[in-house]
Amino acid sequence: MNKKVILEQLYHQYKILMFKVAFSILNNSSLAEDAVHAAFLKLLENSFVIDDITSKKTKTFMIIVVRNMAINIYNKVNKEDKKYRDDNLDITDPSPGPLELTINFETIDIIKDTLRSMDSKYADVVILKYFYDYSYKKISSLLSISEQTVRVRIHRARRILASRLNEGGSMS
Amino acid sequence: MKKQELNERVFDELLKYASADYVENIDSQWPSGEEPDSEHTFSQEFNKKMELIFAEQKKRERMIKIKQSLVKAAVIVLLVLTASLFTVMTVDALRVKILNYFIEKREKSTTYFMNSESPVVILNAQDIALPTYLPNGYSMVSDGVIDDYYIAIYKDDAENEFILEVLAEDSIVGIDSEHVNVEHIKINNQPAEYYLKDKIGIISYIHNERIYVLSAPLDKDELIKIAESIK
Repeated sequence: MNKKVILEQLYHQYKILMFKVAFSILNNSSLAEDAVHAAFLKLLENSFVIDDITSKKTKTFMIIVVRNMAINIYNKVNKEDKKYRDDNLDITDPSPGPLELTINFETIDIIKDTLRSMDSKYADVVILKYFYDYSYKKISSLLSISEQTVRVRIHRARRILASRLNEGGSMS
Repeated sequence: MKKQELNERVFDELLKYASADYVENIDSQWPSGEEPDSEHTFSQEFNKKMELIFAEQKKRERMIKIKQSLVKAAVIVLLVLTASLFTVMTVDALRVKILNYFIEKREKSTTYFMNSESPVVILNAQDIALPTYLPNGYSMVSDGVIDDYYIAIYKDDAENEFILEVLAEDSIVGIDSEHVNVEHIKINNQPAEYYLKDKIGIISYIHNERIYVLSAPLDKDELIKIAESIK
């Protein structure tokens, strides 16, 4: 199957879902359409592998791409609003020390729940890196952010997760 | 393997597991099934723009096919040339002349790069040199090692932050210097690069066989002062 056919199938399968995802961030139909369009432009520019159009893996991928396009548009339109900006983070680590993990079911549940409830801009880079196994460069290109921003977001996501584990007593 | 390194690896595995769980449960966040019933009708402008994307992809695929045909033609030409060269090289007088030409050409223009196998540098947070000078009000809020790089985030009271990244010298690092003028400067007499992008000053240079990248919404002199305090 060539890429044009794949793009068309992705479009027919996910355009409404992608619009909903973008609309949930932008709250504006026209801008949400722009985000869907920007997402497909990203797919046009980047190489990617789709095994099954309807799989959860593909669905998550499409959601992540459009969500980040929507966030980029939101940040451009609302320059003063810090809602989706990278510096909007309360987590601080006053005494960074070595990671000490105790693995048990609770640890696994905490990390799963934290990832699900985490700000999507952090969760998205974690999923692209750890599930899709994408390089920083690829994530940067796909989400239209710099490689440095990718590295900072992954670092922060790890800090948030480590902090939650700490609160849960799985780290000493 | 050190205990800290082992912990980081276990943490990486946990993240992989949690990421897989996130994907597996994507339907709970964004349910499938009701998409065709959506009330939204996409605008004509949007539909046109999407058609352009598909047309562009079609054009690209056509170009790839043309390129593939050209490569095939080039292979045929190459085979013909190889056969001709074989004929020429079997004649002594011509062979000497042609070989001399290539030797002369090579002496004039070839540069040799000796590629020695360098050991893989594993970064350890304790071994990283950190700035001894920080602008007024700044302190480190977070740091850590991920893969082959170290990252530290500093913030002041007004939540302005600067980021220090340290990477092994053989790391592949992408620095976004598109559409900016790169200025060549010196940090402790070592060559460095400075550029300003989106009001963020960035300095990158090599120090103790590591790549240091400092980025902050600070002026150039202040940034240089921080970099020079890393020893």
